[in-house]
Amino acid sequence: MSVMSKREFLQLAGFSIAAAGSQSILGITAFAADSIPDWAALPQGATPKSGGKLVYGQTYPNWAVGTSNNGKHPYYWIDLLTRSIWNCLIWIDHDFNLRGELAESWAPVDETLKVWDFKLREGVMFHNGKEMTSEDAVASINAHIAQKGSSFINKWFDRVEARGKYGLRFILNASYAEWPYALAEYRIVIVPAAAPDLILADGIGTGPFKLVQVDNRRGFQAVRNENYWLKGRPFLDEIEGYVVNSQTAINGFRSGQFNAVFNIDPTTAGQYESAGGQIHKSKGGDQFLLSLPKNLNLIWNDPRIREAISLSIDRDAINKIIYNDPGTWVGNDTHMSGINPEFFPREKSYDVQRAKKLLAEAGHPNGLNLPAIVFCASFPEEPRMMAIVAQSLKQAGINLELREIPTDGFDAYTRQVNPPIGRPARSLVGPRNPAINLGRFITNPTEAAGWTGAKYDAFVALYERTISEPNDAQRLEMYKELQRIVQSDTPAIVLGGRRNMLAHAPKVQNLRSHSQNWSSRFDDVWISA
Amino acid sequence: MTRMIPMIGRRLALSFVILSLTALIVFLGTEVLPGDAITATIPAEELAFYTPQQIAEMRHEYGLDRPVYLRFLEVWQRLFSLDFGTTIVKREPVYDRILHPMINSAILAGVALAVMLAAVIVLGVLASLRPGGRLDNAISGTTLFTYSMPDFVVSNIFVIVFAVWLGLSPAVIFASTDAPKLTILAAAILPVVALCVHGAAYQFRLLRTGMIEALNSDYAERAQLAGVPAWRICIGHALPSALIPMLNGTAAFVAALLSGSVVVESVFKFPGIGSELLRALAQREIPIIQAIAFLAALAVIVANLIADIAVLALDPRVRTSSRHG
Repeated sequence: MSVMSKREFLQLAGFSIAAAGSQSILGITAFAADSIPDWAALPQGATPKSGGKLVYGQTYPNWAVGTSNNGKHPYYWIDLLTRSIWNCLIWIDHDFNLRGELAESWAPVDETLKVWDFKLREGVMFHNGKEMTSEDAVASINAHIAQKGSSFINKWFDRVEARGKYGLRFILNASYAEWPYALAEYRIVIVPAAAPDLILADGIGTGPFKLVQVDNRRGFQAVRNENYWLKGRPFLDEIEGYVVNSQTAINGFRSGQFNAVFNIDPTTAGQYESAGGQIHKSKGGDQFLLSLPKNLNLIWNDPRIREAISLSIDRDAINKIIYNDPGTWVGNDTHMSGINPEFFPREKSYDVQRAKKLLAEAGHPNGLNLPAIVFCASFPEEPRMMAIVAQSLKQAGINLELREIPTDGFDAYTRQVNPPIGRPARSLVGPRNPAINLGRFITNPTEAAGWTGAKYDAFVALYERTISEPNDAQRLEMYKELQRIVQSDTPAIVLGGRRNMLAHAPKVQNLRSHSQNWSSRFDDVWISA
Repeated sequence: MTRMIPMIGRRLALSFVILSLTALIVFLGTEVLPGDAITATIPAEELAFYTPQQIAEMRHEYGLDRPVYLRFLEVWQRLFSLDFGTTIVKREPVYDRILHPMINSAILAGVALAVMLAAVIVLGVLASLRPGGRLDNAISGTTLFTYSMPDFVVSNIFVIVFAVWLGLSPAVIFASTDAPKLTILAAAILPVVALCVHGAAYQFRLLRTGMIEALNSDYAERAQLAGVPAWRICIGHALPSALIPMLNGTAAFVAALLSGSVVVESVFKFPGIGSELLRALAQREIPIIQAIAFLAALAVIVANLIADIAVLALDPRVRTSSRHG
């Protein structure tokens, strides 16, 4: 395999800027003003119709918005699905490609990969009638940094500058080959510039719908943005979303109140279908990761015990019983999953005999009791999945109570103690690219859970080299090595992963479930006659 | 009327004592037994995640390092002045968090109470006109059946029948927590009926029995012989007498409404205090639990007080016995 030099890489990137429609991780999209970008093209033969209202139920409970002080703040909208009201610079499409949302193009300035230039779309209007300019983007990014919007950008961010009316320059404090991907995070939306205490607080965005009302504990209503930057979109006149439990969602769908339900319980798909619903399943979804605090004197500080726990979990049973989808999801005790091309599987993920041997070596030949681990039912099937986990752990002599806590307030509850790591808890990890996935062991104290030692040091050093490596092929191999290091120490345990599923009425067209729940779009959805 | 004032005064004083005892029980239950607010919030096995210094700081912050009687007096004062403090996790005022859900639930419970009373009186009178007749048997049989149905069963049946099959009402209530009261009222129709089904059955049986007893009494027979029309005997003479045992049952129904609304609100996604209570219980939000428990007790005591006053007004025997003893 030939290795590309940094200079060759940058030259290629420069060519790519000129080549309309081309894209890569450091990718560029370009198209004529006022045209629809290729990624927003409708399916062939589609005959969209304008009008109508989409009313959806969301079974992902109000983990964020339920505990918010201001439901108009985009940070709390992961439950309600952010992209109805707001846009980011970048969007990750259903196949995990980078797409320019409010950014038209982007490229690193030089081979250090520390300086990135972005070109904003022209003519994008906010819901308040003001045009979006680089000043707004700079103010938004600075607000996200100040409000700690995402640890995925804060760690590398140094400053952002406006370059003309539509230009942005990011200056990072370290090389980061996959910087644009981080700007697709659901919180990193672009809003009108305002004073630090006012910015992000008014529900104004550039999205396809304008917010009319939001109830932090229940849902929202929004109406079509006539000045949406994707010309001719959205097709819907109105959109409403409500956070409901699984049974209420089914009742609402069967009674016709909902014409779509996001994140349905996989075992209820038949109930939706029997009510005329159509099911759409994405390639992936969130994974359930146990973060085990290692900064306290707890039994799992011994890596043999952590590995034994992982080897005792019958993930195939979870795939089969919960998702009726045997063999589809694979994990490896990192944030990576089979939908990442860089995924490196464990040699053997379920081996009770080896688990017992490890426990015996660690001084627990008769099994052991673990401290309770808390979780919240972020997805309706989760309590059932936890029951399978607890039962399969018992086979290896491991007793673990997985204690359910309400979703709203869960985050605050888990972080109430033992700062900055918190209680032993299940973290939900959404699917992302390897730079973010693996970087979470460094940037997220809860998920890193106080991982220290020689292997951690080796991981950090290699990670920094990896994300500064411009060559895709080399980076891929380095990502695999990073996964090997994690697997050899098992700082966290991944129980399973889901395939996001939604149900919709037959008249609802082009509504698709996204592996990144928060990247679901509504501007290309319509309701047929 | 002047005779009733001292009696009402005695009832008020008694209510005050009961409410104080309620405050004491709430205090003991949530702050003292088996530990205090801190140990109630933190299960024993999780104490490993706190340093002794953190525990001490939290105890000081919540005033738990002071004598129990002082803390109770403070809780008592706070509860009686309706100052419920702040939540533990988010540090937001409890009052702000429960105000709208409480009002919404009060609307739900108030309308349920009114509808239940109206329905019970109509059905009770009709059934008692011809005891053992077809109408009486039909109503009695139906109410016996509904009495045996728990609230969650009734609620789910209503959703399936009225929302899913017939499409007459929404299966899910979309009204926001701070929606206008008329919106809440409109959204409350099915939950109101669901709440009434179980309670009305019991009330109906009380009223029917009272009505039959009254209609078979000497004074009813005398009125009949004197040529008083049957409807007048029924409404003017038998009903006030039969209402007395039912009114005491109605006060109990208020307590049942509070527990029933937790279930019914959950099924219909009604933006009331029931779901707030469930959330607080699971989150171990002691201040919210205290506030809701106190306000629920207050509602039951007020309902009992009203029932007592109504009984005093309706029944001269009670007034006489009260005067003498």
